[in-house]
Amino acid sequence: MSAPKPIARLVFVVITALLFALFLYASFFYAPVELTMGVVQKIFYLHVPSAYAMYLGFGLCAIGSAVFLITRKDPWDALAVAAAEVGLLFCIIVLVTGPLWARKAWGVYWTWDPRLTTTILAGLIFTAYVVLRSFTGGGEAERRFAAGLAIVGLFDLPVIHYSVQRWRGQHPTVITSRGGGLAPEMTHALLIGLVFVTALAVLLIWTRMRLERTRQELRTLELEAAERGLLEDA
Amino acid sequence: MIKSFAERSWRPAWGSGPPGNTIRAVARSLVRAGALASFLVCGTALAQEEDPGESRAATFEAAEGAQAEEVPGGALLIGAYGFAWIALFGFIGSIALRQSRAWNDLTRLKKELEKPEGKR
Repeated sequence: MSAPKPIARLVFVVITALLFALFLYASFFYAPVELTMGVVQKIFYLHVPSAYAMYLGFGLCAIGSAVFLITRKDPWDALAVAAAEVGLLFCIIVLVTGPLWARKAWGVYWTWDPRLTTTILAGLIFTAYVVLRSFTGGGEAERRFAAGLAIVGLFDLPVIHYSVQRWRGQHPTVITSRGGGLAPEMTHALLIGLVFVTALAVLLIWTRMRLERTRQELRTLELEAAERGLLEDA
Repeated sequence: MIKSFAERSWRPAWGSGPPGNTIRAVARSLVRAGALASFLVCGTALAQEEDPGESRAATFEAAEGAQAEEVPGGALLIGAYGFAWIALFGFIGSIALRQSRAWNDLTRLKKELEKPEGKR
């Protein structure tokens, strides 16, 4: 994994900013108001893409962790840490925007629906991962333990996805093969949202990974300084 | 001769006695099996009467014109998007802050390590 060039990052930032503007226009002005739920249905254009970004973050975290356990190379560990934080950010967005939509659609903020329950479980597993990595330093044992935890968390992701099909629940299924009941403008807004949030998630993981690589370099230099007896002065 | 427990405990109803008894026993068995099968089939059918997919929203339809709302949907919408953008920009700010601190520490440490032994 070589370091990306700054110009590539800048181009990516500009593209994501343009997608952000397009997303706001599509969800607030282009997509029509829903017949029974009203304007609150527009949360859908943020909620669903955030859920996919959560899968992306947690999935990359588990992949990075698995490859780190095999190769013991720092860049994979950096990818795992970065993806876990970004996945958790989108998980929190999903768990806040969903209940705000549910208040209007179901009449309650929260219900122990299978998909909601398994999503909060994934959030707790990856919160444990992030807390473990944040408060235990960069020790080898902690990194390996956290990697194992991320792999365990991976098994919850298909359960979240298929829970709504397998078990009785209230969660809408408008974009599955059984649903498909979206007006064309709504589909366009959702697709723009998916592209924007995916680009945003990739950009955030990329940026957060750079920070982790800097920290890894810092830790290596600190060890060198400690060996030379300079750590107190540095 | 004394029969074993297994031989005594399982004996087909139609295997002994006059032919009339055998026919009645077979008919009774068939009626019982039919009743049990009906019970199982009806129970399963009743349990699955409501398709899980049917109790959920499966379509989002576009409304025409302004719609009156009971729950303030606008406030919920602003709350959802507002929270998302605050969380997002907060996270970006936190990365920028942590990156700045890490770079400063790295630069200082590199300078310290590059200094000749006598100048420290």
